[in-house]
Amino acid sequence: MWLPLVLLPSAAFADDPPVGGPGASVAATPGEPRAATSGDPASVRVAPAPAAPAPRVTEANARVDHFADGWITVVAPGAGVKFDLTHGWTVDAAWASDIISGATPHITTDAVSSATRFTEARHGLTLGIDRAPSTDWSVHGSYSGSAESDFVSHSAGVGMKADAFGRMVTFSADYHARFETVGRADDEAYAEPANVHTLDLGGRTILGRSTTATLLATGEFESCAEALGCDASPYRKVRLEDGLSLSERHPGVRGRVAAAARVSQAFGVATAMHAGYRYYLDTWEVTGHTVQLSLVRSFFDDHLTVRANGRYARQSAASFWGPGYASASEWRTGDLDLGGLTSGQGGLSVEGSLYGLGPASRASLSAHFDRLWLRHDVFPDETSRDGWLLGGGIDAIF
Amino acid sequence: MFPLLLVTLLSGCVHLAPYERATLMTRVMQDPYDPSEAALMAHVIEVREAMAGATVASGASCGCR
Repeated sequence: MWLPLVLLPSAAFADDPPVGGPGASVAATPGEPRAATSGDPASVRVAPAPAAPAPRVTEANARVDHFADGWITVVAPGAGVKFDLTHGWTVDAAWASDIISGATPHITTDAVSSATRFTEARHGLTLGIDRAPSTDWSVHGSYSGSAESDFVSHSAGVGMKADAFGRMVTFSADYHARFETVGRADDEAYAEPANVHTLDLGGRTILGRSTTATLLATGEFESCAEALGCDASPYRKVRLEDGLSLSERHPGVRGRVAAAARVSQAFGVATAMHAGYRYYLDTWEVTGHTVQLSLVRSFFDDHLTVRANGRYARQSAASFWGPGYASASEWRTGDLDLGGLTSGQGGLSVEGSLYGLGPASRASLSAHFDRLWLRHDVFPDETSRDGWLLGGGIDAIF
Repeated sequence: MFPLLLVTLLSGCVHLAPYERATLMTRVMQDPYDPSEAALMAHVIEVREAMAGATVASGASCGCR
């Protein structure tokens, strides 16, 4: 993926007008002085060429986060950088890792039967390129790769964003194709492929001087190897009534749709509220409702910003999900997250910003602290998955 | 159906001049306010639920499930 990322901007520069613009009588290459004539060939004067805009870093950030619940602990460092290549081209790159340790309990009908202890790391890289031919629209492409000991994912995407109706509305469309390989840490020969195609559509409109509304929709189709099925774990098992246990097995295809509406309302120039609702449905008969609310308040001319946010979600169980199985049914799962559940989250974030600090037009230091709840319908007392997420980072805009 | 709804609802009944959009351009009106934090939260939540999509943040997948 590096090769096209490097070559694309160069190819586009060939279409740009020559340095000196229309009317320049003598062709010049960037960086060289160009000649201007005044009718008299003898009176040639050499004027310095205007400095060609140079590629520059426009944004850089780094962060580290920590998540812990009763099952796992995750430390997640990450960093990103964005370059303006001029002529409407920008590129960005981001790296993120998850260092995960803990135990995954295998919960069956009435007990936590066993636990698989593990420590592993996931490393992910995202590369993006964006071209804005005008101020009204842009196109972009991206690649994301992620690897860990028993899972590899490659994702490529293209998309566009366009303003319309006097820039009162912004539309966006993105398509991603993701190719995954599920493996086993204890079996190098084991490999289960999965392909995922995702289409995201969005639109944001201005409803007034202080109000915007956003509509979002996602459609996804996933096809997977039949042996394991989509989103199944090669480690998880289900227990049958006769005491035997079997590997879980999910259907080999999964279609998912989600639609959301969000509203942002400002109260003055220092306070805003963001609220949203999402409906989810998939071919495994999981349906879900999610509501979100966020309040943002800035102090001291945006030098300090405080955000409070909350989320509540409720989902139904997949059609083949059950706390236990009487016999070896065709589809079976030990994944509690495919069961009926209620989920909640509340958090607080603080950001301090300095403006005009050295080369940075803004430099920010932020921290956040979130509490997450999870209640399964069948195991309401299984509270060990309540978790904490805290972290922070630094972000600079140049 | 959704594209039709999108165009109908988003085509807008009002028009604001650029100087009337100052409040909309403030940082507190950015949604999400911090994209990297939003992507992290979406990642954490999607590992714990069966639901996904239609969020303002997205990122690389993982084998966390």
